[in-house]
Amino acid sequence: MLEMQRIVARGVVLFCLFWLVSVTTVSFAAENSALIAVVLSDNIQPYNDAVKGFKNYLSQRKTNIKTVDYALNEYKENELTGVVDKILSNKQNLIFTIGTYATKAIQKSARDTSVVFAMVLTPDKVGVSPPGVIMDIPSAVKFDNLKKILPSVRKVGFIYSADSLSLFEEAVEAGNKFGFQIIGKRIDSGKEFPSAFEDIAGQIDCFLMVADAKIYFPKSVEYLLRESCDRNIPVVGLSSNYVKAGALVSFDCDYEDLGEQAAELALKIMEDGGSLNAQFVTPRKVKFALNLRVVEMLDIKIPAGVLKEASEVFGK
Amino acid sequence: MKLGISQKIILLFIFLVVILTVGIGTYFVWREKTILLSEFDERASMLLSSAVTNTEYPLLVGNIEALDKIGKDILKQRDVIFYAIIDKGGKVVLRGGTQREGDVRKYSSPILTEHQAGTEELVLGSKAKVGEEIGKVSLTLSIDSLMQKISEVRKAIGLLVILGIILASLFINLLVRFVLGRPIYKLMKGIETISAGNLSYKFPIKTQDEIGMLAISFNRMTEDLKKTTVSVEVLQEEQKRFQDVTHSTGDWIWETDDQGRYTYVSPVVEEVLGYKPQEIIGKYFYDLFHPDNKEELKKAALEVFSKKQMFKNLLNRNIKKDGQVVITESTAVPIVTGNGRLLGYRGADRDITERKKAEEEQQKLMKDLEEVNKIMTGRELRMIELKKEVNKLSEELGRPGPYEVSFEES
Repeated sequence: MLEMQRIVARGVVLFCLFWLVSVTTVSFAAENSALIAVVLSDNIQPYNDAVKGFKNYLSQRKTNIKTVDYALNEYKENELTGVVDKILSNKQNLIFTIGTYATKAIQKSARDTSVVFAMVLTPDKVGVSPPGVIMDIPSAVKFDNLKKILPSVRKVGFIYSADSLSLFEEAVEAGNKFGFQIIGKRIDSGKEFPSAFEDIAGQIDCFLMVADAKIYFPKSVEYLLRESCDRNIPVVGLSSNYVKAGALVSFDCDYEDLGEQAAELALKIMEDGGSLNAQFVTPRKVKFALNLRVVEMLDIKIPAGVLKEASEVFGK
Repeated sequence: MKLGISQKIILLFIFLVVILTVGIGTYFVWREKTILLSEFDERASMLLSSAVTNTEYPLLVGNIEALDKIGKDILKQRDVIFYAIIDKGGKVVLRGGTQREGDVRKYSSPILTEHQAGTEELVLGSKAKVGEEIGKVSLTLSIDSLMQKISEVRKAIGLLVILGIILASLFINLLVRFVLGRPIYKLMKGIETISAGNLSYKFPIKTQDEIGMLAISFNRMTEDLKKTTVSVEVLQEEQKRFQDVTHSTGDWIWETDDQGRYTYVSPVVEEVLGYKPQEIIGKYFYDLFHPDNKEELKKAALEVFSKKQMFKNLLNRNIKKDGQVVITESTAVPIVTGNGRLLGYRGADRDITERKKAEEEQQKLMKDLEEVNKIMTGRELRMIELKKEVNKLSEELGRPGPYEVSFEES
């Protein structure tokens, strides 16, 4: 009987020791690792590419940072507040948001946690605060590349609304710098697009699309691409999707690199304890897509070597 | 009109076939109509969808020329008789064809134009889109050709139904006649033969179905009937013997229920009381009693009834149908069930009026004789007294009495 009691007592002591060691180890490990919540606006490829770049960067830097992903598109609108509260209640060191929707939702409620965003267009207009990596490609970069791809183009058409007025002004300034004449036409809604295009079509060598949802929607884009073919006017699209649909060329951010840029920013903030000056970071890598079928159709001469530089080529 | 079982079955089957085929025919017509209408609706829906898609941008930008071209193309489509393109405010932008009511189907669909949810989505090509209703397209399609098709289908199915009914009726007729009618007819003939007294007739058993079983049962029944017939003859003989005996004795046999109501009386009653048996049945036994002692006899009889006793040679006076009095002597036994419940009485009444009369007459004669005797004896006694007085007077006179006084002399 005594023997039995001794065995049980030893077992209890051993179990307590094991539990103590385990808890201490886990707590220690937890103290030395950081947690970043990754919140996506939607589950689309460009966003996923940015997340991939973000995580790759953290991994390359051999940080002891863990990430946990959330996709807000999986929740209904009335569930959003609850989801955001749930995310914020977790003890993460930083929140990385991708896209305007996720960024606005998190920034609205986050008080004590640092937020870094990526892939937001015109953040100041949509009410997004820094720090973060924006998606706007500066007009100067576009015109610089356009000059290389279409050296003969001089007059560039530009239809804009009140929402994209600042972009037009930026384009005029940058275009002039690179020797382009911007022929603009202001409209108030997509309804007016055909007549506006009709007005400027005879005066332009090329047409530059601007990210303005008021003007561009599936039907107006369809009209533009059809008319551009009929009138031999090459179109500079908003992304490679437009090139695939019939635009000649588009300038895109490297979304993976945007993620890496955001990761750099996030690490700096975490290292400096959030004391880094808030800033918008512009994309550092710009790539372009080309549609060879359109090149053929419009009988456009593309300088040698341009094709090799294209990140995506359609209509081969 | 008298219908045989075969005809009834045939009629029933034909009725069922008619119901069934008409039901199936109606179902097929309905089904075909539903399919044709569904195909029609599907075609109209596709046409409408195509019209909406083509109309979207021209309506948005107010390109009436393009809308007109689309409208004309719509009108060229089969069965389309009218179209209307209506803007967001409900104003008819364009219309064509002739609107009418009746055999038409009307379709309408909103014209939606899609916008990207935001500029970001515009650049990235996100699926998130916002729909905006900018008007609607209304189409009216004539269903004349469809109705004609349905009518043709109805006719074809109706023809098939009639043909089906005729063929099925013929088939059922033949089937019932050969499978059911003939064996039943044979059974019927056999029964007629047996009814005619030929109990040695045997039904042929050819099948093991219900008809065969019926034939077996009939044969068994005929056998039993044979035996029973012999018993009936014996019974009839017994009954005749009984009737002869009761008739010859002049007794009328009767039975009453537990209340004393006659339930049976033998025909002899007519000879005794002048009533036919059916006139007696239902009457109480005391109804025919003489009023002078009716209550007394009734009371006595019911007391016997209550004790369930038998009674023997109970005298009672009855009134005959012609009003004469008849004296009967009743003897009866109670009819009692196994558990002692009285069911009634069964007995016989014998007419003893004549016997009674004879007895009464004899009694009267005896009485007369007694009177005569009494008179005669008195005279003798008085003679003896006189002789005795003469003898006394003679003795007083001293002479011996002249008369020998003895009873033998008188």
